[in-house]
Amino acid sequence: MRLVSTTPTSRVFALNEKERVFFLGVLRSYPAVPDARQPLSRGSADHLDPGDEHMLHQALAEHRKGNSAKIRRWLNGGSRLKAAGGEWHFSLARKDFNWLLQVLNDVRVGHWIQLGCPDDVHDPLALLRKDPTAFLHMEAAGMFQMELLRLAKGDAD
Amino acid sequence: MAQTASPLTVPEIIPDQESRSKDALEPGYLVVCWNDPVNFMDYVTHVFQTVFGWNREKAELHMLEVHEQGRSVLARESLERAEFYVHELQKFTLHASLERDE
Repeated sequence: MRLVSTTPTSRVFALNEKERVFFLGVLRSYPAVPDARQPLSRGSADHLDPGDEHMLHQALAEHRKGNSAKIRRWLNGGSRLKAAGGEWHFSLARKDFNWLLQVLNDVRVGHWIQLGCPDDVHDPLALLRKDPTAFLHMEAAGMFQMELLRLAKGDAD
Repeated sequence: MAQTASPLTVPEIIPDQESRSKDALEPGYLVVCWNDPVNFMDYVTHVFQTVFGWNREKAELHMLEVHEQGRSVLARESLERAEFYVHELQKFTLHASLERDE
């Protein structure tokens, strides 16, 4: 994945064929984190209105629904990934940068949960043996995430 | 000639049942971020910068606290603001919660 060009409102990234396949696979596996994974409070929740937690979960569910719809539009748009000299280019509006990061991290965390929330994520062979698909999705999402952050940082410098 | 003033109708004041107690408006709630080994350090730093508008140095300090100590208190706010921040952090799939500041 590499940064091709930037404008004040968007960035264009290039993917090779293998990256394109992984990228689409990652997007299609969203959402991966189970709904209501996180409690509002980890300590005593006596001070909280039970409705607050319900509202937070509802708001998160709505947010994820919106993200899913946006991914579908993006995937079905047809013009987002354009063949360009043996690569695939896609344009990302600057306002969508955090949206894509959220999607990628959801996929990464969701597949990490599927792998049993291992403390050690740096033992690829053990995780690959356990669930190859979950491991590949987790790793691919992480790779795109890091590349986006790195490229954006270079872009800002 | 002065116009005749229309009779004033004073609206009946109905207590807002939805209003939160004064306690909820006090900055007595902590926004806490917990360590998840799956999240990249750069990502966590970026999210803190985005959500709280911090500079990189401050965001990294809190990220390292999460990484090394398992959690970091990111803000002390009213209940509503704390809920807002927790929601924003959870949108990025960070493990965040709010706790009462005892």
